[in-house]
Amino acid sequence: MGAATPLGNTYETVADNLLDGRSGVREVTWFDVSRHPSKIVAPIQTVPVPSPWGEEEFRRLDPVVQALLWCATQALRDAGWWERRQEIRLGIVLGIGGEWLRGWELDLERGGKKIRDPSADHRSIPDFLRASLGLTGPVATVGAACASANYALAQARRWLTLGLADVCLAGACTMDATRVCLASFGNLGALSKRNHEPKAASRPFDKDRDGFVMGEGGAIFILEPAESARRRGARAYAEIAGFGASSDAAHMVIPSTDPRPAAHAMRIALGNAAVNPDEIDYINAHATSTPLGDSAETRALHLVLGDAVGKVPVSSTKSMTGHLLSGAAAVEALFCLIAMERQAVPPTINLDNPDPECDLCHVPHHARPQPIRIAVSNSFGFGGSNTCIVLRKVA
Amino acid sequence: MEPSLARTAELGVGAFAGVEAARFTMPAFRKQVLAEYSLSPSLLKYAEEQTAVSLAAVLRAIRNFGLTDQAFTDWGVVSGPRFLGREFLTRYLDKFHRQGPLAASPLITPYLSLHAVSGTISLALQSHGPNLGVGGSAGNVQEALLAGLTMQQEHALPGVWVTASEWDPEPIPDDTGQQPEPVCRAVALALTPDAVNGISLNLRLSVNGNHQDCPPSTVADLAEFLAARQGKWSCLVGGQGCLELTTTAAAPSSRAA
Repeated sequence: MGAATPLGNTYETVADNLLDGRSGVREVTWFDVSRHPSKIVAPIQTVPVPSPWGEEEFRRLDPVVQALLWCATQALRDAGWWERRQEIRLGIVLGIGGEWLRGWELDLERGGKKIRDPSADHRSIPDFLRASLGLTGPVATVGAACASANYALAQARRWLTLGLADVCLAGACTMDATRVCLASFGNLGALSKRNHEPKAASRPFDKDRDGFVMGEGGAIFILEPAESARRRGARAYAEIAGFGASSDAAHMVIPSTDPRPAAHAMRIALGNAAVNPDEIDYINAHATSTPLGDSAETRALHLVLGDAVGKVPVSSTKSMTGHLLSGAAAVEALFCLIAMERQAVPPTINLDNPDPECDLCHVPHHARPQPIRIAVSNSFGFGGSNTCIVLRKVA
Repeated sequence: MEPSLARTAELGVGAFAGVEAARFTMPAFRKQVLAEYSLSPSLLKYAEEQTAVSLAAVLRAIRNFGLTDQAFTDWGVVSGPRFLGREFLTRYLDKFHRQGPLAASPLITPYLSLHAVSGTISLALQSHGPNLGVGGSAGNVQEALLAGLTMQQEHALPGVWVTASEWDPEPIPDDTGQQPEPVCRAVALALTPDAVNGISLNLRLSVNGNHQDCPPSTVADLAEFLAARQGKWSCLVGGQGCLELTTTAAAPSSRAA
């Protein structure tokens, strides 16, 4: 895997910061936010330049492409495919919800005119990555707002089953905390205004939560058929054991008050993985720190878990990273892998006063050591999308 | 993870339609679609043109193929727009730069991102299956068809609505009348697990490496094939894969796209 997150850009750094409960949220100082309702973001640190790119050439690239190339090269090297990447059909599936919107905005800021010149738009980011890495497999961009990356992982898994690719790079990345996007979400009333306390602003499940904090970054994984990975003697972090998805069909923006569609997505994923609710060792909740969303997810978790709701540990790592939108599910899948490898449940920081409407088995403030074999990650999004992925530790 | 043994996958096409609308007709077109299908006026209030035309294509396919009494509760929706939101965003960015952050529209991400088309169709049909946006640029047609096929296989759904949309030519914001009047075009296909009697149109993915390279397909190409339904339509999807729409018999004339 490869990662670029508000908690670091390497597996070890991310894992240490995650389990130490560190916040990546800070005040925006790189553009003027004096008239923005929300003035805080969880940004990524500048990603290192991966070999074989040169510093100057790499830094000329769009920041989201830099982050994705860093993640992809890290992942290919980690999996042992870097040197042999051109010998196989290596596909790419990326969750990117607003690729062109963001690209046009940044281009305009730099004095460009792409938004007014359709002939200037040619290659999508996955296409660019394929060419830059010299790959020959299929590519796709998928977008389900904040649930995008779970769809990317599911589509890549299915491509392997269909024989369309031998190996897949799958994941997502977002760098959407731009001037316009920060203002747009702020005017939607979705963002925290706890500007004076950046590190305490993202507080999922807490009674005093007042909206989410925008985060940036993403993660990319190498997906490979288990048998092929075993033959190569490759290290497998986990198996994607199950995936489920559904739609609210209620509203384009507001989460449904009916918990059944979200619960349905979770049940499909658990069924797909042949896992019972009481076998789940950890749930990485979608919980973004909005008043409506966190309580809606709680109701869905009650429906799915039943009696097990009091003992299955649930945390929202968005308390540390903010909400990475399209990139969220990718980074949260990575956090599940870390939980399995380190055998500890990541905490929900800032959970000082749990909301009675969010009565779950919380892990507040500090990581909880415990064996973790099955981890579940929820991701929901605009357009009424509900997704759930089940990850199983590989023995 | 299951081993990669399958080399072909095939679905039936249970209904299809193509719709287009010129840019200057769009306000009236939106009203007509909402009225014709008795939909809530709020459904398309903030929707981009490609969303409106894609939804219209789905609704026309439902009507043309006599599916108006069918519930699509468990169906999935996959939509592949091309450069969604360019004109809207141009106006919003101009306003933002003139008036600052408080003028930034809260509608940009919900209604101009990749999920916007599929989310709106899912809402209109009250479909609780998965909904997903794909593509976003050249290659949107093949990405949409491939994602539709993938979604059906992943979830064993009773059906998946697939749409692809584009402007032709793409509108140039602030154009002073130097280009032809742009037309917004969409196609919709209902992918079903089995072949459908009376239509004889199938979507097949084959992976064998014997396909010749070709440029990305357009919505216009696909609409033209669906209107004529003769021979086959194909496009490459990478990884030695090829998607083919094949027909073995002409559909009844009353079911024309």
